[in-house]
Amino acid sequence: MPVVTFDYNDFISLLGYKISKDELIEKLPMIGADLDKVAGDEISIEFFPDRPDLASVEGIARASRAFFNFEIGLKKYQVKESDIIVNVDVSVKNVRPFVAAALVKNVTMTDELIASLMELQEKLHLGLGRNRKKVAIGVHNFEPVQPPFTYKAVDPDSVQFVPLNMVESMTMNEILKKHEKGIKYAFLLEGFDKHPLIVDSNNNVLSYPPIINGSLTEVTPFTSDLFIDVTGMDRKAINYALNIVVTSLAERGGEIHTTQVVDSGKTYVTPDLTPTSKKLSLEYVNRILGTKMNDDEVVFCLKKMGFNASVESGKKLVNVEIPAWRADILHDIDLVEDVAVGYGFDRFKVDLPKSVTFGKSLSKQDFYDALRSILTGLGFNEVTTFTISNERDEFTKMGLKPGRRVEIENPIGEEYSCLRVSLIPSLLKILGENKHHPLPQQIFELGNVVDKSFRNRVHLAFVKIDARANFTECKSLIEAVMRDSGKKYNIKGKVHPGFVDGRCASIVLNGVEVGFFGELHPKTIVEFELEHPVIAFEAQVDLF
Amino acid sequence: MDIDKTIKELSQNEKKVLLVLDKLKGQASPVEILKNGEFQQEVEVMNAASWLQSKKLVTIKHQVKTVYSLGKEGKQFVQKGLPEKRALQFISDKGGKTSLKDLSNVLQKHEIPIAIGWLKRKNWVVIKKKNKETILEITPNGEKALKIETLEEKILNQLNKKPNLEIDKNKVKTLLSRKNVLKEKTLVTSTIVLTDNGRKILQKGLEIKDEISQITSSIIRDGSWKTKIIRPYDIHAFAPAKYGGKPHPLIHLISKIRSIFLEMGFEEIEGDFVESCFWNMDMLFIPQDHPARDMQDTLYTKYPSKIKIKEKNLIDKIARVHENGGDTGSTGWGYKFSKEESERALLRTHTTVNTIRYLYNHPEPPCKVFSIGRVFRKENIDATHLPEFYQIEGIIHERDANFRMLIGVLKEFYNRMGFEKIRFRPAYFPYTEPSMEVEVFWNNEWMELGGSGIFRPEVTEPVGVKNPVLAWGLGLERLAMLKFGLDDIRDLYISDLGWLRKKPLI
Repeated sequence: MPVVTFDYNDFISLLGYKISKDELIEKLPMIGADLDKVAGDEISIEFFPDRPDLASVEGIARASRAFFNFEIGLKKYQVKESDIIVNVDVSVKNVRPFVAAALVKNVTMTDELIASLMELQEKLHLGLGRNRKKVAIGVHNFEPVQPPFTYKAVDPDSVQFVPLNMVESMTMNEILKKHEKGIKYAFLLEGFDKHPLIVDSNNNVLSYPPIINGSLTEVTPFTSDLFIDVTGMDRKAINYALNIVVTSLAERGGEIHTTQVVDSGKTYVTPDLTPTSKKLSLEYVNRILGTKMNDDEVVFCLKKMGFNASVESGKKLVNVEIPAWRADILHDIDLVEDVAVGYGFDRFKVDLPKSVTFGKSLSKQDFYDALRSILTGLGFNEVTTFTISNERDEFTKMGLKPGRRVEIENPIGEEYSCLRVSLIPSLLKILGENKHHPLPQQIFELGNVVDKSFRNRVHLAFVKIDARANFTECKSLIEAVMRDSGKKYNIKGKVHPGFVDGRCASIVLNGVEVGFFGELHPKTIVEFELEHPVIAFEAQVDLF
Repeated sequence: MDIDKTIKELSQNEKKVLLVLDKLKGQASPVEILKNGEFQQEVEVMNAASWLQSKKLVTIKHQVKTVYSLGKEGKQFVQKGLPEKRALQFISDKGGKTSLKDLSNVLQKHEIPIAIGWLKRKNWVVIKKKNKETILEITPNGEKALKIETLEEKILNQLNKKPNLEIDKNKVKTLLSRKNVLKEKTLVTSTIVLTDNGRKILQKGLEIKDEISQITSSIIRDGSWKTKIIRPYDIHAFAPAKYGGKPHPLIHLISKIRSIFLEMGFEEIEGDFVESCFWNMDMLFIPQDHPARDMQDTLYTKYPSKIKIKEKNLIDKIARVHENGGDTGSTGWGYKFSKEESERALLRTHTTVNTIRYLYNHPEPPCKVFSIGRVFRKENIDATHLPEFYQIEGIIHERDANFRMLIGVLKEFYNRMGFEKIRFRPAYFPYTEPSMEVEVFWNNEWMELGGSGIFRPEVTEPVGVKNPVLAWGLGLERLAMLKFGLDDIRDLYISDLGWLRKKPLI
């Protein structure tokens, strides 16, 4: 999960109220965040990915102000109107159809602001923006450019400009090949003839979304008016991103000004910080939470979570105003959770289920437990091993031709490239890890393998390594296992390339071969880097 | 030392060793004790001496010495003489001078170069060339050597009479440099020495009575136990380790968790490792562009690469829920749902896939089910991560299920697992709302052990479930590591037999 790191003193000055560091550290997780680490005044928290509004210290301060009862309810920001126009050209509609923009004036560029803004932009790109695919944000110095702005798609060879962090003018195609950000994000524009571009009235390039800004509008410590563009594939998502960015800047004293996005004959005024509203049923809240809260209590809990809420008289409904930066409210249930968080998880009294149900184990569980007892009774130590294996261990080392198996498309390494089809290789690998311990060693596993139709199967296997391990002993063990599990069976000669010819047998139950056992061939023993005789057994016990 | 008790616990052989030592002035080799006592074998003496040493009545001192005896060549030399000596005799017999090729009269072909080498090295002859012929001429040193038994010959003869002699290494240096002449062996000799405690025991007086040490079948049958004393043992004496077969601690813990859920009225369910994105992700309202579905988080399979979704109506319903919320009252995620993506095959990332399938097949309340199974994530293996691990999954579906019941049930579960302090924190999971993190207090620390919550309406409504469903997915390995005191998660799956043998089961 994403981590936000901030300075306690910066946080306090944003909060505008006093709260001790210890109290903050203790209570912050109760808003809905994991404390990652604390180093002196530096606090790191992991915020939840559904709450991009908490992806900055400004957002955390805003939420804390309400949660810690300093200023409950929905935070109001002053928004001034401007006549800045952003024209959306129809050419972008099939590449990256949506844009929203805002102007934030009188920003004091402190180190904290710059650091926080960059981090926020990064976090929004990654989470809400799905690595810039869904949302990309450009932050500009407003002073050198002249509205109206145009968002359009152009032939990437036809336009050139100086991108951020470069001194030379490059075509858009050159940027994709040569610029660090171009190389990293070129895949987002793959297959498109025309690429998105934002230019001002003099055709100066502000931004080449979602790749890079122009250097003309580079933000410096002396910038005071910021122009912010957000482009993307989803109108809702770009608006959330814009609202989160501008309100964060407003938390540091910036003045928010709107722009008018003219898109397909419609004008969208952005940012739009008008809260959305929902009517929340009191009965629903109490039913889900198992509480008996009255409407005032629910209203108070919601206000602590930064919502505006009021009682709709006589209707047992609560009118909830949802901040325009809360991207996580999809359903009434999301408000119920906020009521619970506002109420405090530690205050809930425990309750227990009321319905009568009877415990029931898996049908074969008793049998499997009995098999495990039999093997431990015979002196075998139980082990449990990985089910992810590889072709070499499963087949080649056992002298088998590679057979049908589940193959992993994106394995963590060659050793972990398929699911196992048998347990013996897993057990032999464990013996290989234990060569420094005295012999004899005897281990078993009752575990899952995956069969040719990709279904889980339950197998039982044992191996024993000993200077004098031999077929006769193995047969005695099998007889004990089968006798104690109460199964009538036959054995039949079996040819298995991993075993010695004439010292391997299959176990036949009701005419079906369910397993086999015998002496491992020295070449198998050597393949698994062992040096002493080994006997082995494996059976599919869900067939028993 | 309690002298009387110590005396009582002495075996017959121990007593005999002490008595013989007393006779031999408190110090003797095992062989001497064997000869002077009524022992059959040296091993009896050593056994008794070891026990006496553990009782601090004697000490056993070990000395290491190197001894020599004759090798194959050495024996030949004793019979026939050293080759150089035989050659020297021949030269002397020929008047002190002979040609090299004449040596074949007394030496075998392979012995000639050896003889020449040593004759030169010992300065017994000088070698001269005359008319293309090599002439050997005896030196005064050689003359002298003929008259005496050299040191080498003396040693060979000694060893012939008495093998395994300890000889100064310098004296046998030249013989050792020759192949197969001498055999070298390191011998450890022991001396058993009476300690002060041993003397005290002897002063008190030892008598050898006919007593029973190991009770045997014949002693029981012939009734001799009636008249004899059964010697008491030193119960603190060392006993060799024995290790039985045992369940693996992790599986043992799973069995315990299984019985807790069964006792709490839950039914166990299971499922396959290979699943479709549809059942593993889409059904749980995880949007198709969610980062957790990336190739770097989830293990997908290339064989099989697709799994057909047979439930046509359900997939249509789920597509709508993702796109716009469908009939669930949700806004949905607002993107275009791909049925092709739904069919991608993967290794299940959670066992929640089992519970949602169960709910789909059993939409009527009440039900309480659980499963304990392996799940897979694309994690590299290190001390805290594995690509596969267990998840403890459970749900409660009943008419008036609520958040407080979830807290109550999880508290009960962890209490039964032996944790007294449990707390809950807000958390986020895409398919539960409200969501909770469960933490237990252990070793003065709060430890996160799992996630829980109430299934979102977007999850339950498409499967026809109208009531809240309480759900949790708890970790097993971290719990196991806490309980077993392990700090490397790999130790659970790459078992060290030493650890398995010694780890208490409870």
